[in-house]
Amino acid sequence: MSTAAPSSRAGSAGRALSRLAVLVVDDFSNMRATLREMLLTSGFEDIDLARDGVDALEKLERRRYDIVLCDYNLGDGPDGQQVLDRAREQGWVGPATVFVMVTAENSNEMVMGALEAGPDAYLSKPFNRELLVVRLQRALRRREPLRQLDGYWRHGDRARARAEAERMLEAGEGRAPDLQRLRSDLALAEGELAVAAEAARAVTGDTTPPWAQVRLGEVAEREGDLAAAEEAYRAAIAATPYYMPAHDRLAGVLEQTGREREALDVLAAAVERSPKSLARQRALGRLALALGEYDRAARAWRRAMALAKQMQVPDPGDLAHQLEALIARGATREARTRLQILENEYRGHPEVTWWVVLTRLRLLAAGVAIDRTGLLAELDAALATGAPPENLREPLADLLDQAGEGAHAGALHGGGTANTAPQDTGDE
Amino acid sequence: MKGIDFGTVIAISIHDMKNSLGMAMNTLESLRDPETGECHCDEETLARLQYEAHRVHDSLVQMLALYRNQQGLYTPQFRPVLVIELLEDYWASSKPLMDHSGVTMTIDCDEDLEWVLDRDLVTAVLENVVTNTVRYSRGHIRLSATARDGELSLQVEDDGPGFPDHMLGMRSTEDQAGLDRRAGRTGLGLYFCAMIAELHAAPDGTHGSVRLSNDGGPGGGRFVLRLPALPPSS
Repeated sequence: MSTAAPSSRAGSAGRALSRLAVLVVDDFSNMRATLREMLLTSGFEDIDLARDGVDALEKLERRRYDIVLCDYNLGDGPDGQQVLDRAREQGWVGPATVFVMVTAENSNEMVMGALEAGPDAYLSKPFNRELLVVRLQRALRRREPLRQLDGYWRHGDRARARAEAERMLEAGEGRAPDLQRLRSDLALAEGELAVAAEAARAVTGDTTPPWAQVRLGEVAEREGDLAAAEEAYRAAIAATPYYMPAHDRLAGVLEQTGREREALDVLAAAVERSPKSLARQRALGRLALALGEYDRAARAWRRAMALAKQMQVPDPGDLAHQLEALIARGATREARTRLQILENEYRGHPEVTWWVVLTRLRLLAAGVAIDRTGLLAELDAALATGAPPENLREPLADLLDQAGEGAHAGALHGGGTANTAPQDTGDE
Repeated sequence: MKGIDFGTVIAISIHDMKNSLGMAMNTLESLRDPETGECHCDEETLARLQYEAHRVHDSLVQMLALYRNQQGLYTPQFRPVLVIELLEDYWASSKPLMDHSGVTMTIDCDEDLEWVLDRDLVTAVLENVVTNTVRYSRGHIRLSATARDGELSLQVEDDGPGFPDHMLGMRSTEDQAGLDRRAGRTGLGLYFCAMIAELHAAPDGTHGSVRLSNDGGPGGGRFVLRLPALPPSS
């Protein structure tokens, strides 16, 4: 139980505020100016401004901020949640960083997306300076004690970060549930399953936070007890249906235990609830392709393609998978037209040639008249620059065999043609 | 909600809004110096205007919600909400009003407490109750939230004289006694709060409730809105 007496607290920490580095992200210049003014009046002095998601990510990469005040809607490019996700993933936003999401509307998509890895606080427009200060101070009270730990964490020193969390728990500093979560995350990353589980159990009480339930499932999964993992994920979903990582994990366990159809249903429902996760759209697309649900697959891959572009991490695989689904359901004419988009829009991406070759081979296998000589020349040219990415070798070899060009298949495994595999941009 | 007479709702609301606008007009009148025609506005006058504007706004929000609900036009949107943010939002928006009346507010709520509710509806309840409480408190309002046994309890307590006896106890939309023209703004407000509580209904039939008592922590009235655990709207 914590008590906030906002009316008496505002401004009391003015001395410290001037030293905190703040990043304001908004696509409207007058909103940026207004926020900056509000912050200056409240005692902040060190304020940087970013005009969109790309600008924000560049600034976050370059500099360590104590506070990020980010609008959710940022026009084209990454939105506020995508900025937060990427910054967390890259480690530009650490345990001591306060991230506040500014929202205009209460759209379902936004709330759900946000809950997966939520910001410290939300602020709905319009808001006044006092509310801004109260929100920031509450988040700062929570994050400030983690500064020391943040330092270790930033340098990748997980052992010391964890030791610091344990010291703080021992000393009664900071908020215990937050510390246990960090401790559990750090232990899991180190493969210390017992500690990860113990920390999750430590916050289990009347109301167990969903992360802890999911963590117990993850630990069970790593220990090979898939039944226990499934049970934990289902319990998390029953208690907190909007906590999406539990759905993704459940789908994973179902697939591992041979229940692909059920896994597909879980993912399809999760995507309905929260459509903006790139990883989830790809997982759904992959499973739908495997199960022959081509319409669903094409839709999922199309959404994945749009999301990846929005987040500035385009991957030709998204479109190539969409084309695979189109070809499989007989829409070869459309696939052929869209193949040009694959060639043009992903030009310069290290994997694009391989995906183009793969798609042409699929069209050939589907009986479409393809310039075979040109295709093989393209393949040879690509092989001369290096071996195809790991995940493409098998499908390429299969299709070459089907086309009666098995001789080319042998070269795919880097048989002397190359020793540097193109960079794998990840299919997760 | 059973057989509400919308004519009564309109009569009470119009009466109240007419009073507020009358006050606002008088206040606006006083801003101009009759001799020189110059305008001067001090902080207190501004706060009074804000207060009246709040009241008219609350009345309109309330009337629209009652109308929509009666016509079956309103589908509550139940979403997970961080309760402390809901309370803080309300604190910030009503601060000018409280400053004007010399009232302070404390908020007491677990920072991690999340609950599935219709944010707009619950905010409307807080607006309704607190605008009223500011009027009667002697200087202190306590806003708190706790979750226990699958139920969220939102409380507004003050250090004023408390509620009159006939208003105490559980309030429900079945209490038709509470809603004739003489009930005035307060009666309508309570009816409105009870309606919102009842709109928070779980699939098993349990729904929210409103209760008034005079054992508030700071020594005055206590308003309690209880909401059951709900599945989020899809």
